[in-house]
Amino acid sequence: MTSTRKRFAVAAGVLAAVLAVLVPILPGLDDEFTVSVLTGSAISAYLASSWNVQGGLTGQLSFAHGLFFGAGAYGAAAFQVRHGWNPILGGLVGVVAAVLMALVIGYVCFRSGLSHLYFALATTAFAEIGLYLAGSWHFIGGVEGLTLPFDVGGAELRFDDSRIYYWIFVALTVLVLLGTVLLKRRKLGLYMQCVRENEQTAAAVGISILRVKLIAMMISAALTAVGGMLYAQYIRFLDPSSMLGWTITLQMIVLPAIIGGARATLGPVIGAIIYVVLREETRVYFSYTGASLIALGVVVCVIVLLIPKGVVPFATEVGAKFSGRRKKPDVDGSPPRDEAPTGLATPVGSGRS
Amino acid sequence: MQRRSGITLGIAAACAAAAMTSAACAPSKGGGGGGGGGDSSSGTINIGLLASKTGAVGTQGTLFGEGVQLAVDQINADGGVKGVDGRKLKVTAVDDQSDPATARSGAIQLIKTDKVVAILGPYGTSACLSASAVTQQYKTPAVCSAASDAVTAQKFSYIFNMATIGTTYATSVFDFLNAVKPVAAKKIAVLYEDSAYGTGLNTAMKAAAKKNAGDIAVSLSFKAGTSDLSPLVTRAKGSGALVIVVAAFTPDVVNTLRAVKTTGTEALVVSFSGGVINPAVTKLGSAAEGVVGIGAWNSAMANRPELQPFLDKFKAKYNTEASADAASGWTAAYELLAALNEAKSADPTAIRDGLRKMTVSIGINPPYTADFDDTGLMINQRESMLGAQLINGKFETVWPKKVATASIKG
Amino acid sequence: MLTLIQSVLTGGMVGGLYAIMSVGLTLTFGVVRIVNFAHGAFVMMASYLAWLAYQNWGMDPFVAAIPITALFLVIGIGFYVGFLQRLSKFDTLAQVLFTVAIAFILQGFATGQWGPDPQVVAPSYSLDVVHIGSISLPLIRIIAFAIGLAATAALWLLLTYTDFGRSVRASVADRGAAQMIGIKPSRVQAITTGIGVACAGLAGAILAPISSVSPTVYTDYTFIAFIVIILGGLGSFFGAFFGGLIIGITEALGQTYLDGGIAHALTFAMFIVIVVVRPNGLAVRRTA
Repeated sequence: MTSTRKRFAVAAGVLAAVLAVLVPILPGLDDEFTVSVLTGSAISAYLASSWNVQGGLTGQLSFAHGLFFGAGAYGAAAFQVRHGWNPILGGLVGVVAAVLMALVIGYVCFRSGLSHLYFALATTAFAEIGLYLAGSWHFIGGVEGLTLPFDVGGAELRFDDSRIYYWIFVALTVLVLLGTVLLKRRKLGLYMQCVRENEQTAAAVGISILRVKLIAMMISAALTAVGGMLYAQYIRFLDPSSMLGWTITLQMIVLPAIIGGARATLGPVIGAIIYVVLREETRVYFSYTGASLIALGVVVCVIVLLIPKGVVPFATEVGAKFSGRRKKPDVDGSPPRDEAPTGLATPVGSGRS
Repeated sequence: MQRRSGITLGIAAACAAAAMTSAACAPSKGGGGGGGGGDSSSGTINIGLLASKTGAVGTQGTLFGEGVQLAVDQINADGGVKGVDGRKLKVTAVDDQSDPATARSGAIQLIKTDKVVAILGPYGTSACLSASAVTQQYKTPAVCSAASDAVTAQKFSYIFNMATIGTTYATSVFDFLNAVKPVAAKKIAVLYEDSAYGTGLNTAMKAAAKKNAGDIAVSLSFKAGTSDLSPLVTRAKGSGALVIVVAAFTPDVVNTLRAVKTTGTEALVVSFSGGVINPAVTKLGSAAEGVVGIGAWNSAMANRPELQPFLDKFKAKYNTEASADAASGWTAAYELLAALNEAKSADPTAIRDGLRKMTVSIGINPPYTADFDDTGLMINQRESMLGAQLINGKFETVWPKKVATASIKG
Repeated sequence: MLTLIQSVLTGGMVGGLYAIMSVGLTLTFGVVRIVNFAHGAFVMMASYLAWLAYQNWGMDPFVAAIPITALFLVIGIGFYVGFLQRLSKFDTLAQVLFTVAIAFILQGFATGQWGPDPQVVAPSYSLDVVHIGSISLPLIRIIAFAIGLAATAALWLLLTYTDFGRSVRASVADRGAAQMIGIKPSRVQAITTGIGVACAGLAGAILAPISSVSPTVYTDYTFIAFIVIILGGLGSFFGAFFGGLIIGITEALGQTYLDGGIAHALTFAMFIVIVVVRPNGLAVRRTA
């Protein structure tokens, strides 16, 4: 274990050093646009990594995360606008709300034994219902949205220099990553992975599937809501359609996680960087409307067909081959699969587990 | 697994570094920043066009952008900005995809990378609200087009809203009805899309009804793009409404007209002229006869010799009929020109002051004078509204009487 | 009372349209077991083709539906052979992502080619109404409903009584055994996918004069289609038809008695209830 910890520390240190050195000296970092692209990546990286606690680690594809994101954001913003609360306080309310929602949605879905595709569709349905309800809720501004007050300061998480948001989200992402790595080693994390791999076997050895899935969802929801709380201060304007719908969840959270590889801890982060950069670049370079959608679609197709596990696991395997190491079996000792799974091994065509 | 996480992190670090390097480098390649800086004393004046080419208001945003570009071409052909040494205008366009987050980063891009001294757009309330925070922060004036008064209610000094806001539009509907068909003003059904635009307009209609001796029989919301509006129209019919006000855009106006025809409802259909005066509506044929568009501009404005060249030029360049949104873009560009001439400088804050001070009559947009009030809202709105009706396949101005080319049918 | 009947009938018409959209999906998903989230995008592209035919040659969409359906049969087979065959060995998520990406590509293409503006297809009879007492029903929707019903019946007949249909059911039931008696499962699945996509093409052409032809409608179509087929029971054609009717009527009732937005949310709420309470859908019997 010690040598692994050392390895991990070294690698983390390398990463941190790379970031610390590169970022300040990168040409044009005083270029606001670059900062906004990087911040977008950091936000997406954080959200995708938070989602991944449920998605990659436990194997449940949730499209309801927009609701949790929105809960944190609207909690922080609405109480600030309506009652003058400090957004952190409002954000906490939002986090609690998100966890409760996760509990309810999770209980309904998991108790009914919904499995992967059906869970995804059901969470999408919940998200759309939430979108509609949010639009009629006056407290959060309804469909017209909420504009955050302009003249507040750092104590209310408002910073004029947008670089600060970038660093906050980077720090949060690192925390989530560390948390995920640690979680993977503890009993709960192992249980989650067992549930992901084979629910029947996991249940047979006495793991409470419902409990594990619910905990994963609630943790994931809480983390996502915290991201929402900060995001509200960054973007300064919220409306339901830009936060709650399933397409937002797909584009900001799920796709990055999958592109990067949901099984790998760093997968969502890398996926987020690739995804956001790609999206912004195609918008800048191509004047053909719809170019960015086409580019995104092509990238996802290629990745799914050729490197279905995602970029990071693929890179890792390539790296392992180059350094002459043999391919290691998966975490639970089962031999590598013949089929090509993505990060969330879901059996084809299953309706219920 | 433990060993792999080390390698993973190492390789991933390399990927991250590579990705970030490319992110940092690329925009300065593609964004065109630095060339002929915006507020230097010679060269072109860089202005930004932040409008949606895609997304919910993609059509309107595209037309707005086309109007701006046409106007800029004309301004440059006429000798540039005379008040600033005849310098020419150069437009950098960014698509905000009708999305607030994209509008925000688009505004940042235009101001910081492309170094524009002013922005025209965005089109649409949520994009405007989002971009206005940026333009305020970086002290760059923006002339946007938003139907909500929330934009200028923020009391930001750098944002200007040139559009007819919902409150004015709602009042005009009553002005129109009280002038041409007073009995109908007491029997109105409002069909509104459940977006910010529609909901805001519905609220404005209710408030205007109270002030203008009108009465709204029923207010019905729908999801934009619903293909079958006949249940709602049937309800409107059942409420005894003589007028159906549609607070939505062209596709929903089209579907309302279809539903009105198929349910056999006898009611006047009224909507914002930007949504009504559109080829998609005229293509409906007999079902569209009698539809009324209220707005500050329509292509049938009487006695406007200046209008025809604009319409022809637009058609020639873009192979589409000009619409109210295109006229808005054109108008916005000329308002900016007036501000530049007033300020005699290309400094953003001076331009902002110029926008405040200037008043201008723009050739295609009489009968009103463009003038912004202290909060940045276009004034003289109520007096400038017109009503156009589709009569025998052509739009005729039917209100106010002094500029009407035909009288109202039905 | 009259309002109720009118509402139910109007909703039924819309429901018939949903059924047309979904019947092809119940084939690919229910029978061939491939998740195709690009289904709605295919419907959208077919609508655009119908619009182009109408725009450039004045072709009536119902007439254009014939070549379009044939074209999409070929496209569907090609789609299977090119991509889905490989994807069928992958897990569900991969199929979802891949087909969603295809939908993105189609949407981007449509937006770039024809703009984000919805297009109108309005043949001369598109506003004719049939009156039954004081109930009025648009003619065009009646025609569409009839075509939808016919298509559903045809598919059911195909799958139940023809040799081809038997080979499809056989290869789904037991692939190995089917191969042993000379059926080529991949060939069968290719043709089945082709038929499923052809149905999407038919739906798109029929929907052109009724619904919007725009690049963004496909997300709604796809989701509704999935709701419908799950509601009706996977693999059941008449179930899909029923499912469509129920969704359509619910929406119409919602719009008539409540507000527009609620109707939409109700559909989703219903989906959750069904999936939780009765995941095999309402049609208890399957066709195979």
